[in-house]
Amino acid sequence: MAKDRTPQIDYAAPLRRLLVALLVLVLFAVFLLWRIDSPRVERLRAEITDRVVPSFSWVSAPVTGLAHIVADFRSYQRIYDQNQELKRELQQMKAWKEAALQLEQENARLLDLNKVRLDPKFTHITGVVMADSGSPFRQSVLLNVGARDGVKDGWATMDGIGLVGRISGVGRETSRVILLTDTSSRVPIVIQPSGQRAILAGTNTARPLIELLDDPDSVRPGDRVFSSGDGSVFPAGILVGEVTQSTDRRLRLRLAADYERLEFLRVIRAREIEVIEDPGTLVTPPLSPVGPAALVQDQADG
Amino acid sequence: MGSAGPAYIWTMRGVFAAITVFILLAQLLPLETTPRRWVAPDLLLAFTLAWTLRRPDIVPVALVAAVFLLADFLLQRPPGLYTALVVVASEVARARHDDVRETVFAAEWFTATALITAVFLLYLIVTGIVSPIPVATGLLLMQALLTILVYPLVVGLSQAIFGIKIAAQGEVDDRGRRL
Repeated sequence: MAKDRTPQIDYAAPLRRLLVALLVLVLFAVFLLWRIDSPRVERLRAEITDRVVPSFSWVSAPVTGLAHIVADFRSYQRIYDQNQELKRELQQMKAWKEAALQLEQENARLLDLNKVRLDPKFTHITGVVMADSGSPFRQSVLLNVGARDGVKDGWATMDGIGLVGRISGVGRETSRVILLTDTSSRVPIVIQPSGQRAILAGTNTARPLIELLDDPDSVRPGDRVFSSGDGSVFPAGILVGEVTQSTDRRLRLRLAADYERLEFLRVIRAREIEVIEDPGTLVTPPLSPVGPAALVQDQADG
Repeated sequence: MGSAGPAYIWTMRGVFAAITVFILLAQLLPLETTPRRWVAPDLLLAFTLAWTLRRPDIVPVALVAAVFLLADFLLQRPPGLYTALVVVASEVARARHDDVRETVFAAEWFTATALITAVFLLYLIVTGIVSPIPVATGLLLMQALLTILVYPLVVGLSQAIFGIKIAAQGEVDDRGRRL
């Protein structure tokens, strides 16, 4: 109903419409830019997250703490059952501990016999989880360690037990970990004891899918899965989980890491992996530089 | 008039910004690190549409763009796309403001439903075309549905706690312009 508005508004309305159209265009341009030059915009995203999320921590820390207290309190209600269960488990663990000690000694002896030297650079930084992805479509967490602490893109992260994900997006004080359950996560794995190599693909469910398996028959549910180090993505030999079979008979993975409570994560410093670029000159004798020329001359003579 | 002066409008703009920050914060709390089979409704969108349909003067388009762009970046959505769609939707809602105050709530809800559906469908289509990773279509549709269902609740909350009412017919602001 423009007729009963004051002239001032009539003058402003088209200008406003123009500005809004411009704003929408700019927003679409940002989206296009992201589609074209994703790494740069993702770096901007890491930068923004780095600025904004740490300033939330003063409120998020107590709320998260409170939620954990509530969860702990619920577990107190079942404390008698848990106590009985723990006692039973402790009995079993004592037996296992004995076995582990013997194995450790044996392992040390064997390593000594083989003169194996473990890599001293295999160290880690521990970070605290500050935030999750905030969206049901992406699975990631934000750690409070970043470029300041020397964290780099692509490094592996694990909790105390198993692999959790890889670093993707590093700010100054924060870094994002893409979890193995995210749809964009692909990790090379090796399945023991068969030694089959495969790719672990996240599907936004609790059980990621085991893909590109050479011989599915040689893999059984319960087999243990480790990172393989193929493609120099991850250090090899980190425990990932064990194989299970879903109801649709596809091989999936039960993750070893406790995804229910990700609080402290270890970021594994990746080793500089040496790349062999030489095509093997030591094996074949070096070609003489006059070889082809001499051949041509031979033919001319003949 | 108490609900139209610049002081009131700027206060309510601050309240709106505070609500959005609170919603974002609640989503980012590291409480859910396992994949979920369900999704929460997009409260940010519900609040924005409810407030623009009822009091467009409180929610300037720049604030909408800023809030949703920040959300895009923090929640790892493709930046800009969802924001652009919501800005367009909020502009449509702004234009529908006159209709809303002349009709019943069901009509307002219908408008909101149409806008939410349009935003989610366009977002689904565009990300389906350009996104390098598969889009969780089922989850997105569930989110759209829940956002539609939560809309009356958001309106009730806005009215009860923050006093966001539809301006009555003929109500004017301090300078005598129609609201």
